Amino acid sequence: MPHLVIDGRPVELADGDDVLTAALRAGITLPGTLCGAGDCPNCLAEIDGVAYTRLCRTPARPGAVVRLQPAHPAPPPELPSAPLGRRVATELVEVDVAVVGGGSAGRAEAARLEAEGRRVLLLDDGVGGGGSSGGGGGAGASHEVAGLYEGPELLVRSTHGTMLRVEAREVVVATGAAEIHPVCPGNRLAGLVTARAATRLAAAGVDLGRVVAVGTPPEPAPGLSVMAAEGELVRFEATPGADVRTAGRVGAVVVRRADGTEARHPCDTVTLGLGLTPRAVLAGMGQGFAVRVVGEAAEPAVLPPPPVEGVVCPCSGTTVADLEAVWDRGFRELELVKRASLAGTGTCQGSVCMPHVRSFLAARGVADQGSFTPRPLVRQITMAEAAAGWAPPPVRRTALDGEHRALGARMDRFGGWWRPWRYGDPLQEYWAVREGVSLGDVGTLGKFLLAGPDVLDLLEHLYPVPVADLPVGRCRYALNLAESGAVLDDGIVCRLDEHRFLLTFTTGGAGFAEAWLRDWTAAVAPRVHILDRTQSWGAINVTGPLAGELLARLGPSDPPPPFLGHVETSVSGVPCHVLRLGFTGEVSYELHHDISRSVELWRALLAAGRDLGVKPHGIDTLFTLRLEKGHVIVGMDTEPDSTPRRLGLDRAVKLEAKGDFVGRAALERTAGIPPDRRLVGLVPAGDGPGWPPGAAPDEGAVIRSGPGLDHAGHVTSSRWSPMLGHPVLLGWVALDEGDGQPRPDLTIDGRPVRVAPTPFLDPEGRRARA
Amino acid sequence: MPGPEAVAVIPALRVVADPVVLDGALAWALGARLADLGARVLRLAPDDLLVLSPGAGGGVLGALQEEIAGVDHHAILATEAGFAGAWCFAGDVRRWVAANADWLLPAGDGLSQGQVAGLPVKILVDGDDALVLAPTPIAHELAPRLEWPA
Repeated sequence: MPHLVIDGRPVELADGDDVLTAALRAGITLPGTLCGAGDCPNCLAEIDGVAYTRLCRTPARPGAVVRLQPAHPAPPPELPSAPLGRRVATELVEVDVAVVGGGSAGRAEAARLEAEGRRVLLLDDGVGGGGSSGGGGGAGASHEVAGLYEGPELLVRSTHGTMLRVEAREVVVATGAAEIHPVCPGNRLAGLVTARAATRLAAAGVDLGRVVAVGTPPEPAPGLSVMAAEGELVRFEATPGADVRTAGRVGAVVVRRADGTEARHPCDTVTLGLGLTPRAVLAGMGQGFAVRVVGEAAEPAVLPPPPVEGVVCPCSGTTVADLEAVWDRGFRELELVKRASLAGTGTCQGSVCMPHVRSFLAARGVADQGSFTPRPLVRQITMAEAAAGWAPPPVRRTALDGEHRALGARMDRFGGWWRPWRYGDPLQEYWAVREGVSLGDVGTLGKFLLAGPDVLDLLEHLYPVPVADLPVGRCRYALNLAESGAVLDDGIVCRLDEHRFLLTFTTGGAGFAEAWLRDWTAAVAPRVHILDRTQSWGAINVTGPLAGELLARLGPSDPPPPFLGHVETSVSGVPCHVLRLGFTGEVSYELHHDISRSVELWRALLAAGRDLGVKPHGIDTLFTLRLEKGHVIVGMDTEPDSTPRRLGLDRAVKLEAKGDFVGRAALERTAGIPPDRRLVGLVPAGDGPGWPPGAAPDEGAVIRSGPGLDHAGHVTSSRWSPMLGHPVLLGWVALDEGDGQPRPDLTIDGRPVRVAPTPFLDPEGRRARA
Repeated sequence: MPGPEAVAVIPALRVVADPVVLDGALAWALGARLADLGARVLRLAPDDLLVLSPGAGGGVLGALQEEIAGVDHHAILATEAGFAGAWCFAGDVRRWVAANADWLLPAGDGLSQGQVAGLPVKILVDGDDALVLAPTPIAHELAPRLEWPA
């Protein structure tokens, strides 16, 4: 005989058992009324490490390990000691009609719709005798609907371990009706079952002992002998010596007869036929969608008598006394009573308590307000099921990724790309740039080709600097502004010919750039073609005082361009757009080329520069180099409302030299408003304790002011400058309302700092222009 | 399904031009010339073509220059190494999309574009075969997310 294990105890299984049936047949008791239909929370347990699983909805499987949840109040279930690591697959299914519920109404509706030639998926959990047909999840699978969403779309758990997303033109809810649970003293005792559950359990061989029926008696079943208790339910009484895990087991039921007297009926089990209430939760999630309700689920609710005493909501432990307290505090509406009492907020979503709460309010003269507002989920799902179908965004790799890794680079993620952080000693990388020649992989930059008769109109509208006067073969630094005047990104505008431009954007801004360009193209200059080259072109920055010499060795077919110039030429036989820029502060040639040639070009540069001591440099070094030059990194040094003025980048806005552009109106409107803070350069003040060699304040460190150490700002970028021998920083500082200057006596971590002009190094830019 | 080693950059050319020019060219001479050269044309957007041209880049480029750049002088023509992918069985790809996307592949042949398993992909269905393309910088993710054996 196969077994499963419940709280460490082996329990025999019979064919067709669900776990609840097997547990009860073995004499295990559970508190509260058992419905056996998935409507209540009274048989929730942990099964094979998955908490909040209904025993009655789970087919019994040999070897399953069940941990019953303690009697109320239940502490949160313990998390498994090891992650389950189970990946749940998903499947998208499209049908004309999804019918939820495989009872007689659901089957009849499905048959009728199929006869009309419509593609129908009948969804039923298969435990309650319904069927399952067609659709995903595999033949023979049963399906438990967890939620109904806009579409309509159903989230469905398949017994085959797949989460289905069923998109249907129409959803038919045929979920039937649930049996009403009793609310009276003693209703958390074990030994209480609904009438339908009693029939099923007895048929499955569960010995219910002496059975007393209250209300409608159960349908006959083998071994089920019932004594009817005529009258209105008053209370359940416990038998002595009950299981301490439960609140006790029922020993008798007391009813009030028509003549007003009470009758006490000793028993082992009480069956309860107190009426039906439509299973309306799922249908309620479909308000406004193509959702139709049929069968018992569409019947009007008949409310039970108003509750007087006992637990109303077994999920939250809300009692009638709790409802009265809420009522006395002035809560009158169903939704407010729910929020104040927590009735209906638990795992059964109000299935048990809602009829009683409505009856409670009706008895106090409140017009019936229907049901709570139901929201997904209607069934508990695991984290793995919730995450089913989700995939993390990919991290991109440049064409040189393998080269970096082969050189031993420590890779890290920046702006959605894997980039080399450092290859070894960052100081060696730094000095290679400042004193020799170095290579940087800048293939992650956003790169766009634009061409068309309207391209100048577009670019003049986009950029706050003139573009029309840019000669062919020249580049210009430019900000990208929002209409609010805030800086969105920055980059280079490079004129390739009269009506053809190459635009670059930052690594992090490349994804946004295309949408930005296309939006404005559609709005102001439709005759412009745009081609994103970000994923198609690599870019290598050859930088350092010896960069020109290295490039010359690889035989460019045209002379290298001057500072802020561009040529199209071949380097070591690889066609390149060569842009001479200066982000590192040294002579720099960015070689933009087809990614299919990146490795070839990289290796040629390294080989040709071996005697020059050429080394690659990583992002770690690049951050130091650019900070010495005071270059702002958008997103790192900027804030969402950072205007050029706040960033000290007024020079990149030419209000007088051009007409309208994106952000101009906002910049003009705010020009007269004194800024309250500004991004500034900072260095140690030199009149107090400084930082030890090689050290610098943390990025994000607080900047304080005056003897009171008032908050004055924070550091956005911070590095030790090997060339200058002290830290260099960018940071936001508050400005005095009076003189508009940064407050005096600034300190970071107790060390004095002062505002310093940027660039910190080579302010005339002689090195980059050499 | 092929193994991860089958994922490779697909040699191609890229054309961005006036949609009307592209419509006309494809409907008339260009369509026939590209077919003769064995090139496949994927219309990524009204103004954007990806022309798969294995081993015939020169002839294809010449045809594009004559038929498109000759009419739209601002057209952008460029070699394209920005897409990598592999040919797979169409049935496998349909199941992959159903299990990993918010959309289903249409029943017939043709190009579909969208997010599958977190990747922006282009899928060209041609009878029993399907070409799955992803941007080259994320091509390394294609095999594991297609659940090919490592």
